[in-house]
Amino acid sequence: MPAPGSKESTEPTGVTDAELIDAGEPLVLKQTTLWGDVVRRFSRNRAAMAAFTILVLMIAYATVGPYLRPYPFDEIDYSRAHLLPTAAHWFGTDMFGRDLFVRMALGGRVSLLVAFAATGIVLVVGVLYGSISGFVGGKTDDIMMRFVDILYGLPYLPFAIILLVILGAGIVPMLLALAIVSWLTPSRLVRGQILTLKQSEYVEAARALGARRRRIVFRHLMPNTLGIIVVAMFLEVPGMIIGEATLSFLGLGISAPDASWGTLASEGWKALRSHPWLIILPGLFIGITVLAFNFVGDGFRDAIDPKTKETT
Amino acid sequence: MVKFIARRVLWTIPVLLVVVLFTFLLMKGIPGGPFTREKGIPEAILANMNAKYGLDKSWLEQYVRYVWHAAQGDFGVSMTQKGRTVVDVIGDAFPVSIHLGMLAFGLAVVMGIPAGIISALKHNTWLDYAAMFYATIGWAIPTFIIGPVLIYYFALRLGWFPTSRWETWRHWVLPTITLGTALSAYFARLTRGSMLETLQQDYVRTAMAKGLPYHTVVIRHVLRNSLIPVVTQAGPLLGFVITGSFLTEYIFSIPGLGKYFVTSVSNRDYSVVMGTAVLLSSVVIVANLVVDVVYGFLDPRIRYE
Repeated sequence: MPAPGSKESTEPTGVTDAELIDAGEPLVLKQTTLWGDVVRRFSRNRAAMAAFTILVLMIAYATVGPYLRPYPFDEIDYSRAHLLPTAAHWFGTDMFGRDLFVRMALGGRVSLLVAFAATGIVLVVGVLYGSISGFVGGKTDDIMMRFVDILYGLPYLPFAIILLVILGAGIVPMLLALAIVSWLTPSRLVRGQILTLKQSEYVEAARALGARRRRIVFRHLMPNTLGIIVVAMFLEVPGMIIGEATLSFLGLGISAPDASWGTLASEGWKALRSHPWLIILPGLFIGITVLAFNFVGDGFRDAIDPKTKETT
Repeated sequence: MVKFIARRVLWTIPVLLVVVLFTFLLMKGIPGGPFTREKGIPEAILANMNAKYGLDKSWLEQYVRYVWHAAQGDFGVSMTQKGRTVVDVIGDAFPVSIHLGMLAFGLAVVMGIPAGIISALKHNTWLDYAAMFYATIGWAIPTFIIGPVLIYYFALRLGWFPTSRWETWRHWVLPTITLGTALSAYFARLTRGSMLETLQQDYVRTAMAKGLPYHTVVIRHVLRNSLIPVVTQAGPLLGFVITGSFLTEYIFSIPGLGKYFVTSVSNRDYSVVMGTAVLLSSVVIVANLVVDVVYGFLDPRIRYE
């Protein structure tokens, strides 16, 4: 990962001598960058690394899964309907005899894609809105934050439902609806961070040395908000996965021929009486993915700011 | 303090007005109207029906009229359930939702807070790990998986509880667990984090050093201070209860607000959707207000912001 502002990074790296001795590294202080430290600390965190591996595997499965098995996702064959996992059908089959290994991978594509895209939109909007509000300050900040306060009065799910009905069913409406109801918290987060950073000593020092506004924004403020943005991203994605699945489960979201884990769970719900496997399978995938994202997010947060580790 | 509360209370009025406006405009954006689905209605009758419900006026006029009537407690009549007012519909459904929400909240408090306290006091022991395992799993598994799994084992397989509806205590058990699990997991994590932070404070060390009995320090010094952040999290949690109860009501066919909301949106029953959205928004806004005021009491610095 290219480290922003790494060459003249003078911030304390948070590494004490004791830590270096623990790690068995030579006592000569190598020049380390903020992001080098983050990667090093993260890779030492076993739970986070395990979760990270699971995520990589999950994304790989969603990407290449459908090509691993010789079954088209829409091939209907009632002679092999409702199978539990077998040697031929690794995850079993659904009520039409469609292979669930293939369908789960395709569902994962939609679920992950929607979650990533919605998170991307939310972060771009949140970072722009939050940094403008925080950096400009004064009246502008006041008005922008009052607007956010007002929108906080809207309950999340009911408004997502109304938006979905307006925008119609499908993948793009789904990710727009999720993004529209979720950009508030990241905006507040980024604004808070910018406000704190604006008053930090090194920004003051930069200003005292005569640095221009542009340099302060791009060299000092932006790179230092990147940390919380990465953490926010990892903590936002699982919320999006659950949001998408919830709406699809209610029958409002992704509709045939597309399928997400939420749609698959909804199909399983209808067959609960006779074939509970059909809801347990997507449930497991959603649960594992959400857990993995949470662990990676927590791991990143601890790696970026080791101080948080003691209390969480 | 009075000035602080007054300012916060007054602030809710414009917020509510704008929230109603947003909802109103969104509803206008939904394609189709409440009467477009019934095929073969003559134009003249359709025009009359739209006129009867005021749907032929400009949106601004409709909005002003809506707010004016709503301020007097009149939220209009349902457009799809003949002869019932919005107040009737919500009056039937809301108590059920509140009942479910309270039960789940109660379960979460009784399970989650002690779990958090124990795991903080027994930090890094198997008790801590067990509680945190529960909290992590409970938070990650979505409501719409917990509900069906509970139904499958405890209603269909074992037959201990009914699968749906909301009548006797037997009906309450599974929905309460479904909605309460994630909530209790959240409480457990929050309480544990806050307790661990408080336990490291100097005043706790001082109290220990003075030779106070362990349980006195825990109850008087640690518990009191570490439950503050838990109290102030009520706002976002309320949002979670609303979201979760929509799904829980859907899964267990409970006649609460969530169920009516979903059917009303698909029937384009504007007045019921508006009424429900306004009600839920008010609940969220009032909860935020209460949290602000409570926080203002607990932390005087907030008042002078």
